[in-house]
Amino acid sequence: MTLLPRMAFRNVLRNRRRSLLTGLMMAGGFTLFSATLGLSEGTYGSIIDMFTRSRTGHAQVHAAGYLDKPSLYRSIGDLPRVERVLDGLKIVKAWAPRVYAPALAFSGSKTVGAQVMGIDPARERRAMRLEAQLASGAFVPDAPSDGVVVSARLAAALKLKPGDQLSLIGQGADGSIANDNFRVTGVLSASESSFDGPWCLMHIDKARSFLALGPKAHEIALVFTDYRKAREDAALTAAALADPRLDVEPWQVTEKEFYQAMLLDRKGGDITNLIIMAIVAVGVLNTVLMAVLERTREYGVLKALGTRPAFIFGLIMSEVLILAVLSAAAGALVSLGLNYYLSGTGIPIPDPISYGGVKFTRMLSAVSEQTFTRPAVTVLITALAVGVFPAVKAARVTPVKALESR
Amino acid sequence: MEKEPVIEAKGVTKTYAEGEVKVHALHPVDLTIGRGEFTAIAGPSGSGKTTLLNIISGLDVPSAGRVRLAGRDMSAMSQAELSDFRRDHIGFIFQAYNLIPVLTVEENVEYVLLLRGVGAGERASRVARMLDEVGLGGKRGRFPSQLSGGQQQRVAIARAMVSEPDIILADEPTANLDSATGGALMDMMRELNERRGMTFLFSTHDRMIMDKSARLVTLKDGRVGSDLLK
Repeated sequence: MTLLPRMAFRNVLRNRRRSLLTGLMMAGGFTLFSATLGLSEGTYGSIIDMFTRSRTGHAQVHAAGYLDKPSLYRSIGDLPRVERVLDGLKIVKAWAPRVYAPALAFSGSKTVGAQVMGIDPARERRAMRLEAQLASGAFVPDAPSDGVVVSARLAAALKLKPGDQLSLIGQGADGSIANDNFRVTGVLSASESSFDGPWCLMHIDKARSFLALGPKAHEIALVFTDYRKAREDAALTAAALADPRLDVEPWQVTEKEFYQAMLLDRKGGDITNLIIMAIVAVGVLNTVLMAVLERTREYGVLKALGTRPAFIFGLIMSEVLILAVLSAAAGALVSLGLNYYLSGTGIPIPDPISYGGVKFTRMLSAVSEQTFTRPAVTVLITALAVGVFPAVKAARVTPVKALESR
Repeated sequence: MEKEPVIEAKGVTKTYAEGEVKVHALHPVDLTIGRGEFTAIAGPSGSGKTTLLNIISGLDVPSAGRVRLAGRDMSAMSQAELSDFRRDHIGFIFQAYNLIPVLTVEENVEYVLLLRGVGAGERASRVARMLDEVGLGGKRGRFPSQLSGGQQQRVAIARAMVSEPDIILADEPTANLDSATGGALMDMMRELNERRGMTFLFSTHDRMIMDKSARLVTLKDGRVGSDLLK
């Protein structure tokens, strides 16, 4: 070992109790940071999964401009080719085509505006959790039929229950008047469904024939193998589709408000981590400053002997680095165990949340590379940044004054 | 024949400002030290001994006057140049030993050679030889805290001498030692001075050092009082 790291290492061991306390502070900060990150990733992961799998998917394919100005006529062209491309993509775990159209819904003497959504029940079952949002009755039958599922709001407006008749009038894509009678098979939950408005869900083929739309779709909801890569996977999907007439947008774009709210919440988490690191920084600064003050005479001797200031600066920074690396390693070990525990057992939520057919009862940690790399990098940078001031102070001591100090 | 001068101090003064009061630590001092001399600067506390030694070593700068060491004008040097100059030309022995606590005896002595960029093989042989000369060959792996005061000062002497500097400056080197240990160390330094021809300059108010030195310069109130060659 060369002189500088050897001296630095021995200086770290010189006041073992103080080094241990500082190390514990840094390791504690690392562990807290890591656990917070893991729990936050896990919680956001659960929320994102709950939200996206209830309806939107991780990304959606539309005809270009559909999201800004939805229209019955703005449908995805050459659907068979799009479906073939999606089937060939390994990153796409499941996909489900949909059609949308506005309509008037009648039952008895009541009439309300409704939104028709044509779905492929078998594909939706693989991709989404629509069926789990039923409050009563049965889901849309797998084969095209007159069976429909209505949202709680539409059911309340028309006083519908499973088994009741429902008439819809709309505009067909060919300019004709679309009208037909349907039978309510099920009603969606009022509190745990992502369908807030007056929705009427029916088989996609039934919707296509009702709207004289032909073999088209307005939307394809995609579920990727990893929700965390939604942006990248959406871009890969767009590249694979290679059609400028199509937009492929991740959930962060299609559900912009939800995403913005989540980002804001994350900022809150970042502030918590910042506070943790500020506490660590103050602790490290205090320790290093104490050590520098105590050893002022030593630095005076080193400089009197002809040591360059850069060596003294490097010595103190090396001491901080050694302590930070050892603390980060200890913190990583503790975090590994803690995050493993939190990812399996988690922290129970006093008031469980239920949404989109999923009950959220525990905060579970999601362990990823970042759960360790971010705290490690933060602890190292914080310690080194904090070490600069005492190191400069020591490097700039005047030998004659330093030799007079006790 | 007159000895080649190692130190030439001309008109060196040092004035400190303590609030609005000016304290004259050194009035114009002229002093020349020749190569191979064994000189003590004596005087009571506050007479200016340490200040003069600090200025000669380049640790402090004079308020006026010039110091030439080994033929170079130190007043013209920057802090970095002074640092390199001390490394290459001056050996220090301090009253409080001032060894580096985290370095072993061997590493403490080796340190100055490392600073000078001496190769590993030569470093090892010079350190071993020097430690044998000061009688600490068997304690090279010990840390300063494991040595007595006298042994620590021997290490400091070895550290000061190992790089064979032009001059060794010793500030009250026996002040923290009992008289027997101090006397033995002085004998050892005198013997090294005679055998190796190294120049020693002490600051002291210890009668024993004054007796053992070959030349005695006395300072009083920042002025040279007497300069006796024994």
